[in-house]
Amino acid sequence: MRVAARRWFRLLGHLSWWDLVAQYFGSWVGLLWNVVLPGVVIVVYLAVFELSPRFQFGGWDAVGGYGVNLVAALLPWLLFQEGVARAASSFVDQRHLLTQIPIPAALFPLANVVSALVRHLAGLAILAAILLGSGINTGLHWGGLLVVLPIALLLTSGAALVFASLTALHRDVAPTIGAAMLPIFFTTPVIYPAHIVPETLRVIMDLNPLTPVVTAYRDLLVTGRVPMPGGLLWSTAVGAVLLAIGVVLVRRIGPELAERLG
Amino acid sequence: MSLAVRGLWKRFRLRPERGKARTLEHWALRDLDFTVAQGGALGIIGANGSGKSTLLQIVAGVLQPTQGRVETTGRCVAILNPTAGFHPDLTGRANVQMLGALHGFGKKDTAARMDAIVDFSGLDQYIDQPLRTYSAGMMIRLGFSTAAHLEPDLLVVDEVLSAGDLAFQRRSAGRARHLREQGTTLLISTHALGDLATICDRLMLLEHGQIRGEGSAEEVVATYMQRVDAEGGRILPGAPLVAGVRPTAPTNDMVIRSVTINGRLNPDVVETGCGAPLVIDIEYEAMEPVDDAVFRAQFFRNDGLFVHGNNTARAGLEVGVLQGRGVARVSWPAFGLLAGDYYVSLGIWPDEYRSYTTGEAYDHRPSACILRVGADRSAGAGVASFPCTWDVEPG
Repeated sequence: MRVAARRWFRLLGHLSWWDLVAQYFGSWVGLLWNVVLPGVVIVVYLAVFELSPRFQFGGWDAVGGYGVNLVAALLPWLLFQEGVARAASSFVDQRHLLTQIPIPAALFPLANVVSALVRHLAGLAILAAILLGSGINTGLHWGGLLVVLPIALLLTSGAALVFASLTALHRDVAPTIGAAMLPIFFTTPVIYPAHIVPETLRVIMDLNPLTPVVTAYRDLLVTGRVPMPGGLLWSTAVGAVLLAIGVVLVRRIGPELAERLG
Repeated sequence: MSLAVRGLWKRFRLRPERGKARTLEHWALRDLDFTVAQGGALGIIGANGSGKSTLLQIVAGVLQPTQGRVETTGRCVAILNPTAGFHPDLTGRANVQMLGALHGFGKKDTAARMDAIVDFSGLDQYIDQPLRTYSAGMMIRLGFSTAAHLEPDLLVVDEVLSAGDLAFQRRSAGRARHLREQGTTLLISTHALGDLATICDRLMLLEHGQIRGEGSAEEVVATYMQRVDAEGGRILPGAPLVAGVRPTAPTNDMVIRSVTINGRLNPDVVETGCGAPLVIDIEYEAMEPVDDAVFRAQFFRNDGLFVHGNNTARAGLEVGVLQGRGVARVSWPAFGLLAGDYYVSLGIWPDEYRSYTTGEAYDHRPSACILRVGADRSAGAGVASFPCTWDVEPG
């Protein structure tokens, strides 16, 4: 059992590493694109929204400008979006390996999540430097990420496993997920705070398990406030259910993958 | 024991076309049972679609059996196709590292073998180029070199050995023998029967997912060849004869009522052996008195080659005036066509030549029946068999 688990984690490491490397292999910047790209996103958003005083983050207790509030919430969103969107097509994308080498199927979508996590951590490091440089220091509140980031990962991994499996059954799932990301984005309080949206949308936003996560990021990194535990519990519960469904699906579909995709 | 396959069945469900509810099933493997001892080498041969690749994919752990199980001990490395799971954008070197890692070998393990892998593949000039620039042959060389140098306990190779160039095939065969000496068990499938015999001590013949022969290389290859000979000459049911004379229109002064071959009335296919007796009864009916009709029997190979024929005129038989029903019998005490399928073409003609060239037959059945002659290696090779004895005097 322990040997199997060790092999499992080692393979996950390898697949994640090759996922990070292979995307930019042969380019001059190479592996560093994984840092440069989130860096560019952060810097551009900050430059546009922070340097123009017309953009105001509509909260009575908001700390910082529109830019930092946006970026703090954008990072966990990108982790979710990128992880899930790439994982959804991972079985199809990796069929050249699935049909050649017996690798536990769950590792492919999870490797996409891990490589999204690496880029997420790079983004966090860049944001931390910028925040400190501009005098926003929430100090120990950063430690709260040790709780919130695993919840974000739980949601991302669960959704990744579910949608990767469903895509193997039905090719229409991956593009549907791609299309669904935009409405999900607008029902997550990333570019506006939850309290300014209309009542009807508010219901959906409250049910959205990503809402407590992005709000918690903003609370911890910018506002300097302890997040509401109730919302995070909801996110954890939804994440756990997604992960459970994902594990069941992958266990059922995994052994047939080579046959379905080969 | 390094590999044991027990009661292995594999079913593929073919997805139905849109709008059709029925799922088609295909049993690719039926009840396979065999073992390979550690350091042994089993070669799998058989026609395309006989289940070789499916078997190897199941042994490699990529496909799951429908029923039965595969027991292996130790580490298994498989090369199931020429691209071997390579990533087209990574360099040859990076692909080797990735393949090693995914097969569960540590970075250092793979790195330590890198030089040997590159040397063996003969790709040292190209190893740092992206794989998409490689030819199919180069990928095969890299794939086999990698797998063969990871020193697995079980090496599964599908159809790869026969794909490289001749020099590489020799080197691969040598490497395979070396691995066996080190205790690696081999499971190989290929169409290059010569290579197989030099690497494997045992061969297995698969046909429609079943084991049709297992044993020494010579024995199994001989069985395979015989089956190929027979299979190559098959005539598919309903396939028309495209050779010979096509009668413009039968005049129907005389008609063939029935054909009985070796005692079977109007058969579609008659199976026989080379050198066995052949008797054909043609039941005719003359509507009005017909003088000197010619009965003709001809045999055409599946590809249209006219291999044998005879007629009453050629045989010197004056038929005289025929009226009403009767039977014309032609018999061969030992029919000497070798293994294959032959069209039996029967007709009744007004005369021997003129009517034949113009196609004006009384009645003509260009493919009355298919004669299927079974394989018999001892009868010789080619089209026909003749009684023959060999005698060799010691010098």
